[in-house]
Amino acid sequence: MISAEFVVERDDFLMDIKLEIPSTGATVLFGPSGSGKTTFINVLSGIIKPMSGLIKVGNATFFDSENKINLPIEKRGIGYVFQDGRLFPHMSVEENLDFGRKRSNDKTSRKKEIIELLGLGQLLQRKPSTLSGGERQRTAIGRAILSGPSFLFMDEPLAALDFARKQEILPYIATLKKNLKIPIIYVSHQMEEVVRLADHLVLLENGKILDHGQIFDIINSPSLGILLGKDDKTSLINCHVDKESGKDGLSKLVFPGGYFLVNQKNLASLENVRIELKAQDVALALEKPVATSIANILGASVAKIETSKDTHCDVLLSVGNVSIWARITQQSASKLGLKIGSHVFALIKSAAIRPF
Amino acid sequence: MFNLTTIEIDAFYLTLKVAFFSVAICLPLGVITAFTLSRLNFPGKWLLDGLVHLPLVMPPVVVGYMLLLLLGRRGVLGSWLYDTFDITVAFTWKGAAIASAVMAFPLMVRAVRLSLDTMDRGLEVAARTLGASRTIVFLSITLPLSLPGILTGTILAFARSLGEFGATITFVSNIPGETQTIPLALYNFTQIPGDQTPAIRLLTISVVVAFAALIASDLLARKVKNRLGTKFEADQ
Repeated sequence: MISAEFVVERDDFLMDIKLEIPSTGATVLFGPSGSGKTTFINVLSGIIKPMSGLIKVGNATFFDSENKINLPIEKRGIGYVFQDGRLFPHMSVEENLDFGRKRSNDKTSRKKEIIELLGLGQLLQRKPSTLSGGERQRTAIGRAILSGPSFLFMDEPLAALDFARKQEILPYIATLKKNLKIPIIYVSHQMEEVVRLADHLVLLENGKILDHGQIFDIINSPSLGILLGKDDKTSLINCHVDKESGKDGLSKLVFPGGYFLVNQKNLASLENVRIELKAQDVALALEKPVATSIANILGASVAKIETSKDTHCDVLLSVGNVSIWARITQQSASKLGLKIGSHVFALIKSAAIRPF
Repeated sequence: MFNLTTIEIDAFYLTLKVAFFSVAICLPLGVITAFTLSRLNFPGKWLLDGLVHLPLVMPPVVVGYMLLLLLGRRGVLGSWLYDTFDITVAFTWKGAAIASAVMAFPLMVRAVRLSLDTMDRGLEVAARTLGASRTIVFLSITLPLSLPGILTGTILAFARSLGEFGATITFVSNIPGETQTIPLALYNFTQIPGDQTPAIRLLTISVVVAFAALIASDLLARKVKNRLGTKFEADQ
């Protein structure tokens, strides 16, 4: 667990932070450019010295202004993947990978595993200047991991890459997260990365923490809506991929409360996926429709109804112990006579389900 | 025409010896000074910066005279050196090397500092996040990446030493076999009316040595460039 409490001065604002970050899974720091996300991890890693504060990681004190403790960067045991990679240009890919590994306590056989995981095998003898943007970033990620960090910081590692390269690297990071069990603090202003990677979410704006907590709680936080400039509701659901998936072209994603059929074959190789479901893609019916093209029909009960100033309302459904948001018009809601506890059927098209 | 006399051979070897030792003094001190000026902040930094640059803007004769006052047998430092270590630098080849080193020093510092200033500091930070101490970062990242600047500085300093005249003649005089480098010998020959062949021979040697240094530096620079992987940078 990281417990951080500090004040740091920036050109445009004073950042006053008090936060605890769990030492499991991925914590995404999310916010617009210039909100202090990078400053935050630079303070934690020792690159920026705060004016005052107390920063503890596990049992180690990184910074304590009262007792004049300021652990140097190299003694903090953190890995840092920079936005621009920062590979050493005079060293080969392998020498870059070995730079941190040589100095870590963990000199075991992880190198092979990481090289395979990140697909670096063919690149080892190459110089950074001959690598593509994606290859560079993969090398930078490998280098940071091989230094045996207790925490991995990633500062928008995909920001400098085009769309195709992003799609190339995101799965690697997702696999890393799953296989290596190193806690990750990930800076991002891309919702896609948040939805895909985050277990915990910290929302930052102008150096202030707007909200933080479990991704499933924060994903519909009003603060996030304000940051994104829209009031959409999204449901995130962790699913297990059924082994029979892909045979008929549809994948079966099982969650506590039912299953989704998704029009994607390539999910069969995965064990677990997270799906994103936008509230406006969920329709409601009182009776189970018989003849319909909609593949996913789930029995649900209404847990909450949020009426907006607009013409719509958001209905929170309980399906098993999973929550799903549906957005319908207020007119429909009154036509259906929705009340808390009403039994309804949620209708979801396969195409509306975005698995990650 | 190309039967060199003892004076000319002596001048040739002496010039190389003086230039070599001058660079040997300049190189480590220059790199340390450049690093100090580029990376550290401390009160009085402007003073160090000014002192380093003085030889570049002052007449060489003035520098030579200052050295004589400082390092001469009765000078502040010179008398101490003589009393404690029995070392005399004034009017010896060691003095010539020091005079050359002082004149070449600003060139060395400027070249290395430019390299350090334009280097991506983020790489040093990255190295530290990978567990490297400041010393290791300096040796494994900063130094190799500033090699082009160090190389340029070395060539400039070497060239400056080959041609040093004013400070040398003022500080250590013009003693054949001891302090008479090629420029000083050439000056001597031009002062004597009559046969110009010895002067022409020294001139030729000067040109050849200078060219050899340039070619060597070019080859080295290419090697360094390849090692730093900058060859492909232009394509991206």
